[in-house]
Amino acid sequence: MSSYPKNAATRANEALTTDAQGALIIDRVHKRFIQSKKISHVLRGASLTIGKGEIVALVGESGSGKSTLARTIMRLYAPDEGQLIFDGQDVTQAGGRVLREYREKVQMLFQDPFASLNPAHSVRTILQRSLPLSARRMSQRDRDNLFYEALMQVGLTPPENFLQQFPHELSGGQRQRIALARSLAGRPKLVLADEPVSMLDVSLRLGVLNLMLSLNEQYGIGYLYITHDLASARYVATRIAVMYAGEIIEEGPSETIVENALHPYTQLLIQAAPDPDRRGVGELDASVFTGEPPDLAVKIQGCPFQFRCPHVQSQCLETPPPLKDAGNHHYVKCVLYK
Amino acid sequence: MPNEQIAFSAEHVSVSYPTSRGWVQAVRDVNLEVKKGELVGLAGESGSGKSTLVLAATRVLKAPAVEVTGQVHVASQEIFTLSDKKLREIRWNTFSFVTQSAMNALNPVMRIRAQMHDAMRAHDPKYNKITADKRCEEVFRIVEVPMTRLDAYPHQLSGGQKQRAVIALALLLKPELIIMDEPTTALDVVAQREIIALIRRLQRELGFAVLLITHDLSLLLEVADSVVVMYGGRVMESGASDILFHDAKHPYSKALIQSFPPLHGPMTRQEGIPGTPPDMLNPPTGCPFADRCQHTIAVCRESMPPLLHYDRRLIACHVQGTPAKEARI
Amino acid sequence: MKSTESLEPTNMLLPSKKRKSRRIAISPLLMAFKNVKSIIGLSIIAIFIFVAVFAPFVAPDDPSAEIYHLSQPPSLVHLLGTNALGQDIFSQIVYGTRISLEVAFAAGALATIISLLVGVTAGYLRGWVDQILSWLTNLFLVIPGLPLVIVLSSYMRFRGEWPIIAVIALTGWAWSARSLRAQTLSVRERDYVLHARLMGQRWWSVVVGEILPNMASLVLSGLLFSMISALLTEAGLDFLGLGNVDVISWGTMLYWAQNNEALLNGLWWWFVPPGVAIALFGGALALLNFSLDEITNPRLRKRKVKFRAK
Repeated sequence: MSSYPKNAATRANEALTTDAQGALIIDRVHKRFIQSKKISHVLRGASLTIGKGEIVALVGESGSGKSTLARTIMRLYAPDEGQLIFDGQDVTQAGGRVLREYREKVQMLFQDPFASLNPAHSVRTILQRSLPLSARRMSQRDRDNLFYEALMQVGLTPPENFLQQFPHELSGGQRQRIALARSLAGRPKLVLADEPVSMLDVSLRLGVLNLMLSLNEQYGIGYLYITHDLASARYVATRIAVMYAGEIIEEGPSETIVENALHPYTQLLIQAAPDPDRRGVGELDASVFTGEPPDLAVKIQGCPFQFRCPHVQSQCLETPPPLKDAGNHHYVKCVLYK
Repeated sequence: MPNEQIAFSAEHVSVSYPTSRGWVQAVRDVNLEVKKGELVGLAGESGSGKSTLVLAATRVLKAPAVEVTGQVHVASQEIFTLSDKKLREIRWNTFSFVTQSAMNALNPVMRIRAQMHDAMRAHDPKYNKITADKRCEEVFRIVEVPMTRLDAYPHQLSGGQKQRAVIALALLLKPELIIMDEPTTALDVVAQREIIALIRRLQRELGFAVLLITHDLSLLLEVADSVVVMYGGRVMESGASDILFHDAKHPYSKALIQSFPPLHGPMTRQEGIPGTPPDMLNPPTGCPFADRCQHTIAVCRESMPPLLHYDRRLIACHVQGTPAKEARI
Repeated sequence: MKSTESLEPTNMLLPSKKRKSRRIAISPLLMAFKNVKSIIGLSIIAIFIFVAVFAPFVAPDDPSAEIYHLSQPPSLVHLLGTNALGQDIFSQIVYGTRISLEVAFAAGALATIISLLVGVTAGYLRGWVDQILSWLTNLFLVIPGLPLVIVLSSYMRFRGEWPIIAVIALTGWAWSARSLRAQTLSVRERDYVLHARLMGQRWWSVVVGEILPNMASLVLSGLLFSMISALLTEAGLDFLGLGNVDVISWGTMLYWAQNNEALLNGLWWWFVPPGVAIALFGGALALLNFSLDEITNPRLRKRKVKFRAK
């Protein structure tokens, strides 16, 4: 528990993941939904790579498609176009055993701690039902020991107290820890954490985030940390990817993104984030923050941010902006960067 | 003590309510003040009593649902001694409310204009349809929502427009104080900034005070003039936001500020606060934060620290605040 | 947790180590014994069950023996008097309990099982399975219940009560099936169900293990409702003479009473007892149903609150 906090240099180095083994590659994924005769293009060519044991944050507003991307990664939907490759295996259209094994290695942590645990099950039942079939043949005592270990790993001590409790008797933070303990049973390689702390009390958030970091440290579990809060993204992740209107418009090492964002939307997010240090600097220009994400039912020609961008040019309206490499694994989809 | 410069003051307010397991003491002897034109932030987590405090202070919660003691002054009027009729007359005129998830506070089967008329008819003794209509248009202009949306139903407005419409509703009768309970919680960070910037601008132009309740302490430290931190039904610390940000003294305030990782600057490991909030059915004697505090001493568990002036702020702590001066409270 | 401070402070009471853990499964049972309505309801049902099981010991006479003085009002010899055929009415009530309980419990249970199978399957699987099952449910909902029962039972050859039980169950499952389907549709979307599916749990394990425990109160309530309905339908059929009129049940007692113009002849002790018995038993089931509502929905619970003296 000592190699983090990581300073900027370490984090920049860690951001260079080139090892495809154990990596999750999302390659130009499209997903469309049909609702009352209109087609919504929720994912429009999203691409992202999460290396083995890496923590990547996916930042975006509601309507950006981040939850849909998470569900597509979990294969609740199959992508309409594009590929999903995990640990070298194509899981885009996989089924049966391949899909089951994939879902053991890539698991989801839900946003609402109330809803992600079955209220009719005790903690023991919850942990029991998450055991792989092989482990179910163990004696009750051996299983209980396994549960105690899992509970201690997630910081719930003394574990004996917790086994017979029901979800409604636990706090939000404790529930999320149970949810993490539950995932650990399958020995996951990657956890998709969909806004795991946004519904928790503030004082409990860091506890859960620190737990995620320590599990990453101890077991090499990678995370895709989905959030709209840039500050916690910077705290937890080595890389940040910014999502807008169904595609990733900028990604790079956390420090680089926060200090030197190139895309106007990312700059907008940074300006909008609460920052007590900024106190007294002067009132921010409110007009910058008006506007809303585009209607995804209409096929967008050109850059999706054209309607809100303060630096929009004529070419932004016609052609989608190219992906530019800004060096040091920092990529941005914008014409502004040369 | 009526005072023209004070838009809202709560003095020794306590609120309890009955449950099947006994009486919950949600708010215990709270003192709070909002000056004219000020933006005061009220921060606390769930169970701190912040929402209960304002709901009881504005008599939205009333007996027998709650038992309230203390005094509340809004624009020099004492609230708890008013008759129902008088209360209704000053409600919305002197103070108005923007509730949590305000977007859902709009009646889905009434047009916005009709809802505004409804509010004015209820609280304006000199209600006149024509002047009311003009006022509707005026507030819409103030919040910068297109006039066409005035005759629309709520579902025809976008999320941001609904939020602005609710603020417009709150502004109708030119109140001196607007109480906002978690107005931006359901919004994205960009929309949140938009609304906060709008509120600040309107405050400068129209001069009303705002009591902003939220759990997002980092937002308050950036935009509020002063911040009040509540825990376990009590005020732990309160003062100007830059003083609190740079030099918070109460262990809870400090720990809560620490719970928000910074966006810029050095990255260090931060801790949340271990433990869980106190049981308000049987609140501990002494400081409610004693169980989770790093600096607890014997007296912390025996008696509740009084809220006193100390080093430019009000603080209730046996360890960090010395009772050098008696507060005027 | 960070949102509105609701007035029910469950989060403020969590989870100090001193609190005893309260299991969801056990506490409703305990509450059942504290709730006035359920105490009354359960007691009445218990009495009826006792009477049905020990009928030969409770009843003084053979219910079908037509050997007594005709049309005697209630007396110490015949607690509820005799009817125009010379039968002891009290014995008839006692033995009639067996029929009514048997049909009420069996038809109620059978209807609930059918509604569970149809409703939950339709709600969980959705798609074309849902379309077909919903259509079937709507069909049975639309067909008028009593006329269908009458038509079906008039074609049945009587060999015991099972034809009647089957008919009542077949005409009474649709209403519960609809509400079970709706509830399943809602529960199915919750995160914990999603998690179970993602983990690879088989669909039947998800339905039985994750979904059904959260619908227990709805199922139980539907069961009680079906039982009441079955009781009344059965009594109605017998009264109309569509049951086996030679078998003694509360409904056939009313049939014979009506046939012998008991009302006109002032033989109130012939038709009042069976009516009261039906009402009592049905009422007890209904009380139990109401108390279930109170037990599972905290908002309806009467809260004993000690108000402080001012």
